[in-house]
Amino acid sequence: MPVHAGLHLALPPEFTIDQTMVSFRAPPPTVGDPRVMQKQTPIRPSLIVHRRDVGDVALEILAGEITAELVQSVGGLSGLTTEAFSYDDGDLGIIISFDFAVPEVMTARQYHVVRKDGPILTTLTLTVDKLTLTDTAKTRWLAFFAAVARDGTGALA
Amino acid sequence: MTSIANRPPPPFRPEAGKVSQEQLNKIPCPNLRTLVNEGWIKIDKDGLADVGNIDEAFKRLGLSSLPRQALVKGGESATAAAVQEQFGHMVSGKINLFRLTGSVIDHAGDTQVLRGGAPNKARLEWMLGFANKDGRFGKAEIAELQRSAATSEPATLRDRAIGVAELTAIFQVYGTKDASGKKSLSKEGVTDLWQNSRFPEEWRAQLKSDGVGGVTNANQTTTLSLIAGVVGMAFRQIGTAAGRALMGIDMATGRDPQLNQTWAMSLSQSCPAGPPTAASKKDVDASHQAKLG
Repeated sequence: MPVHAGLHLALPPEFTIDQTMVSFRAPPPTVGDPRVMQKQTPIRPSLIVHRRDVGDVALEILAGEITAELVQSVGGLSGLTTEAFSYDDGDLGIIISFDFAVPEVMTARQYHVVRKDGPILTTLTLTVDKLTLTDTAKTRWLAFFAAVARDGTGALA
Repeated sequence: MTSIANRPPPPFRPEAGKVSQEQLNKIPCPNLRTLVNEGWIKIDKDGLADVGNIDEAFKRLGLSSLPRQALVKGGESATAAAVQEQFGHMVSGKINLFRLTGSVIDHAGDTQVLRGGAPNKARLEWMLGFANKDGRFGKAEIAELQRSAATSEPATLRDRAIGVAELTAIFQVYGTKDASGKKSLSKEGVTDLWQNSRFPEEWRAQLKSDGVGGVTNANQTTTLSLIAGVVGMAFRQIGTAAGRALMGIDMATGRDPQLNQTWAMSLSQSCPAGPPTAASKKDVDASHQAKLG
């Protein structure tokens, strides 16, 4: 089994995966975006998927800890909301979201979506442009979150 | 009421560095500025200082020689042209302290007290406002100060890490232990460092009286221990929700969080006096390519 996509690692056999992180980024806005022409900072949607073994801790507790950490550590945070939802596979999910504003530069909406499969905590961190976050776009992202499902292997990678 | 920040500066110390306030204003780092004013680092009229002299000043501060190694080795790893461009005469064993503004040590999200050259009293007042009820800065106050500084203007993860490293280093070096053994710095000490370019009086009291040595506490502050917290924070970024939040913002706004973190590590290791390894982002890329090639 590959331990890292696109890379062969001759790992010592006693090594096991501890945590994984992969990030994705959407293409940059086109020149049709008026903010590009005005030299304002355009928001390029990004997604970070992080997975690690956290043991036997309830998802609600973990979500609370994440929320507390974000409130204490992220400057310029506003519009904080937390809501529970169900993944398509029936598992519990929690979304923590907030606005991240840098005055006169941009406002982003960030979602921290968590799910737990046994001892593995998965966190998806989505950052999108709040200005273009219409109801349609929001529904699309929520559907994306809901479709996140375990593959049944119980593996980290 | 006269605030600390508005307190008249002490008489200039001509016996120390023999430098003018105008010259001091060209040095963007409070620590380097103080070391020059106190005469621990000698500069010529153009701002050139010997690397060896800086190294000696670090030793007297109780730091290991790693910062010098980081400076020199960092300079060697970059191209001579890049070093020349960044720090002028560094290739000949000298660093131009007047040319640090605009170099890689400049970063957003700092205290902004020395950003314009002459100490900004309004920003100093703002900074002093973070002191605790006893008028001192401990770890908690430093953390809150840096957090606020980093969010007062657009700042990258790199900026934040450098800012933490900068403040941590200065407070660790110039802080004095209270009854519980924890280091902290008084508002007067902060004012002395940032506004008057002088050693804090309570710190000065620790100096050896032989006229040569540095601080009397024998436990030398190694670079590693000095920045251990900062390094740990940088490494933990990805593993924490806050780290991923900031990384997400950096990615969304087109910044390069991975390289920024690498930079933060590099800068942290050479931070105690301010100047890091001499290379721009472009030069780091080129250096990496050269090593790989």
